[in-house]
Amino acid sequence: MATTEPATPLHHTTHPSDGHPQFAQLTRPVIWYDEGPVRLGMWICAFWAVVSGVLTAATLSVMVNPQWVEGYPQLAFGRIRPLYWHAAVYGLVSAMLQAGMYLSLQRLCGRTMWRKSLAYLHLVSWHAGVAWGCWMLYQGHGEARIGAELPIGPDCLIAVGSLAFLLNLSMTAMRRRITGMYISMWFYLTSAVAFAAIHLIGNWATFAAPGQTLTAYAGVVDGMVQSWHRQQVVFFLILFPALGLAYHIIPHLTGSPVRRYRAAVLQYWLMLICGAFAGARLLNLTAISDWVSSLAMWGSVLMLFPAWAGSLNLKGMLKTDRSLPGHCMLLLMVVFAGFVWWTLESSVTATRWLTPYTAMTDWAVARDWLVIFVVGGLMGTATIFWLVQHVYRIAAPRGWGMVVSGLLVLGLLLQVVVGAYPAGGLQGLMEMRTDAMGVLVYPDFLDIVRARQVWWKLSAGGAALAAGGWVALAMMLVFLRWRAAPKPAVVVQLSPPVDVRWVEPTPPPSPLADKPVLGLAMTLDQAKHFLFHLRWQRHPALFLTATSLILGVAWGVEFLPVVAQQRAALRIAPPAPYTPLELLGRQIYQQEGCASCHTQMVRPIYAEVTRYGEVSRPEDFVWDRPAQWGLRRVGPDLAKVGGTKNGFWHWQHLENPSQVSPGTVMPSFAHLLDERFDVEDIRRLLLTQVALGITYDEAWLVENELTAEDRAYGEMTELEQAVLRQGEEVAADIVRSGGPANMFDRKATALIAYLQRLGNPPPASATGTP
Amino acid sequence: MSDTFPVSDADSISVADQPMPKWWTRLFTLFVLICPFYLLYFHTGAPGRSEIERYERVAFEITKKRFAEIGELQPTRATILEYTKKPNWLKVGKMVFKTHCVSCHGRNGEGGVGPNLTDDAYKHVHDIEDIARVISEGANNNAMPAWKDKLSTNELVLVAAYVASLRGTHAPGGKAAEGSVPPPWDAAPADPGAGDGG
Repeated sequence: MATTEPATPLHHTTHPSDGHPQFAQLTRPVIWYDEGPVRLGMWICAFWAVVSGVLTAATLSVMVNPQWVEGYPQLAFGRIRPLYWHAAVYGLVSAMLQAGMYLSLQRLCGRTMWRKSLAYLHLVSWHAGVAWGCWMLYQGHGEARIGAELPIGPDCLIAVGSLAFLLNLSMTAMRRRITGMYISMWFYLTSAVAFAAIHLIGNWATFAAPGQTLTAYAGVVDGMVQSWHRQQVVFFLILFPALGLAYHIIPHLTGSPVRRYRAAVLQYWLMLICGAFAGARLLNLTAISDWVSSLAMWGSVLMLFPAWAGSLNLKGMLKTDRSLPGHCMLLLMVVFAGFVWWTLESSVTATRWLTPYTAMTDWAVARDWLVIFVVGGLMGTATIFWLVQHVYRIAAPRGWGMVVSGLLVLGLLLQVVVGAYPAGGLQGLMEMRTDAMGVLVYPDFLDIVRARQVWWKLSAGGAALAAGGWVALAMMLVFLRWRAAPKPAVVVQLSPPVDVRWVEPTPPPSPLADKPVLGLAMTLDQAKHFLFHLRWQRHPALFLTATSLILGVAWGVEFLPVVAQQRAALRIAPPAPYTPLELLGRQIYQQEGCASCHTQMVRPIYAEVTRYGEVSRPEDFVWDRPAQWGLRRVGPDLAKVGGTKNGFWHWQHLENPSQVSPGTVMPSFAHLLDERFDVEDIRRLLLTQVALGITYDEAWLVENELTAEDRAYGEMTELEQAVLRQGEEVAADIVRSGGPANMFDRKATALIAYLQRLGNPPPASATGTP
Repeated sequence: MSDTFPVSDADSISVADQPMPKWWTRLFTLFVLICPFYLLYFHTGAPGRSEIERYERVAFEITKKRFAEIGELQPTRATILEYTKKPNWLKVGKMVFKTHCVSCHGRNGEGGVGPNLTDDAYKHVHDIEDIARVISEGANNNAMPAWKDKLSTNELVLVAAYVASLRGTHAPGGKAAEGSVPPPWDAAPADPGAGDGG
């Protein structure tokens, strides 16, 4: 099967420290593999452990204590939330799973990676991209699409990395030296294909104007893509590799068998199918079509069964007679518990009856954290302990192990289970609660904010504790690298485990054998053993093709209706496009990360309409590129906020939120009140809109630089005049309601112009037309 | 274990062929069978089953239940005055107030960006009827926003009654009085033809 020799020949070797009590677990023969990519992955882990741990703790603390960063707008919650997300998901947890996969893959394929250089390209391109992206986010160049904020440059680097991994993984699987592919390999293959596709689709952009890119989607389509992308990344980038590693490392460590082959087969295929459909699950009841909601709902509900099948196997694998280090067992047990809870919770709350209580609340975030940190992160940490033994040839000392896993488990339980889930549940109940007459029981949203604060604080405390665990993990990795045992000098070649011929087991005798039944019945009865799948698992191409087909069909039937909705919305009475000043206001809304805390989506639920206003329809979003539907309601929904407050209220609220809203956690945006906007920025925004086919007044776009003399006489360009007109209208409103005068040229004025239009747009004829 | 077969050689993990538990198979089959019926029920175009229609029906029923007793109210002096004396209906007004008004007028009506509603002075109100008018049409060129498109007439009347009932409660931390002091709400209107409010 293998046509090329691996870079390092396969050997069995005994460990140099054999017999030393400290290395009691290492007395089994160790096969020699390429350690380079694994070691690099572990260094990257150490880096991200510190960065992501600190950023996560900082983000959650800043959310409840906005006054800590007053005067540093780039550190306000809305700005650093995307930073922590990318550092944790694409940085830390990805790095742990990638490092783990690079050893797991080689062991399961009985050979080194197809190309070592591609493995390095993968890790370097990916993590350089994420680090660069985080830096750009800090500089304020995010794309303001929840979960897909990275700009185009870093996105391209990540795409290169993920394609390199896909190619390398596929080729390694094709040229493996072991006949069948073990269960873990199925999960790795699907993860690689799915993530590459999700990343490319989710971040696809168009070049709107020279040097400017814009997301390729608009309106409901972009709202759907954002939510889908975030859900699918958590599922296919984090959960799938974590499950694959669990299937490899847990039985390997405990020595227990995987008890149900057919449970693994069912788990893999059904999780793939259900997961592909579940992409839009958080959008149940929103402006996207009911059909898409129903498909996503059933994807999530039916996921219960494959996930349970997996839990059955996990439970069996965790039984052990060996003496595993306590910290490893602790981590694996918490991963198991987290997975079982996710199984139940995410299926039950996906139903249309429970979605209102969980989507758009802290609950949805708690669920993501559960998969990322508890299942992905702790499985990754257990993987690191495993890698350390094989790559540094030293067992992690018990003390380090207990400190790392103790802090992580305690911290994450506090952050996710004690803090975030109850906050979400409380929010859902308070937001939706009405009495028998349909009267809201908690009409003032600030009550819902105040009630959640104590849970948010617990959550932030947990994240701080977990940050301690991550930093300890990084220190441990450095310490163990320093103490690592050298490569053994004597390599004993054993009979190579290459090209092990597959002996197909004979199926057990069927009870139907001596009955007068059709051959078909016999075949069906035999099929329940899933032995046919043993033949399937010899063909990586089958898994790659089937994954692509399943994803293509599932995503197709969910995206096409939404695309049709956007088209219909454009055809039937769309509202007027944003005016130049509103465009700038929207840009500021995006840059400050307002969507981190505020949604723009009123669902057809009585309590919600009473609280926020009319139900959101696809027409409301036609010009939104990117959509700002948001993720969860730390603050109230803003879809219909326009015209419910006067200009001065907004002005004061931006300057000092807690003065107008006692008990709020909104940070001050006082810098927007001082900074003047630049009309050149507006012109650039207009150009991107024109590139998308929206018609604006020609005169606004013509470059008519005025001479100094004209300027001296107070001449203004057409665009400046248009902006000034609307700026003065907003400024006049601020003055009328008691605010300061002459604020027509402030960034806050543009933001207020945008907010006052939300849910309150002029009809299409007022300004430009599509 | 007789039904154990080797799947992976590299790490000698053995994989066994135990059957799925019966409860798993049965529940899974049940749910897979329910799924098409659900999709058929909701997505074959029968009227009244889409999310938005379902919401509209619920909203209609709640409104009917809520206001069956009082019917369609008119924002007149007598009606508003009448409802300031009905605590169970003031509760509905209070809910509307807490949802939409507290951000400017304060949690107890003590004022903020908007004027204090718990003292005796009013900026645009000369009679109890004007309260409903100001809420509905807005005042001072929308410094007080117009709510007529966002609230039903019944809600307008009830929130007006609630605001009227706040008069003279002097909530702590109240903003200084602005405007003029109109006669007590239940006093006979001084001159029906004179006041146009504002």
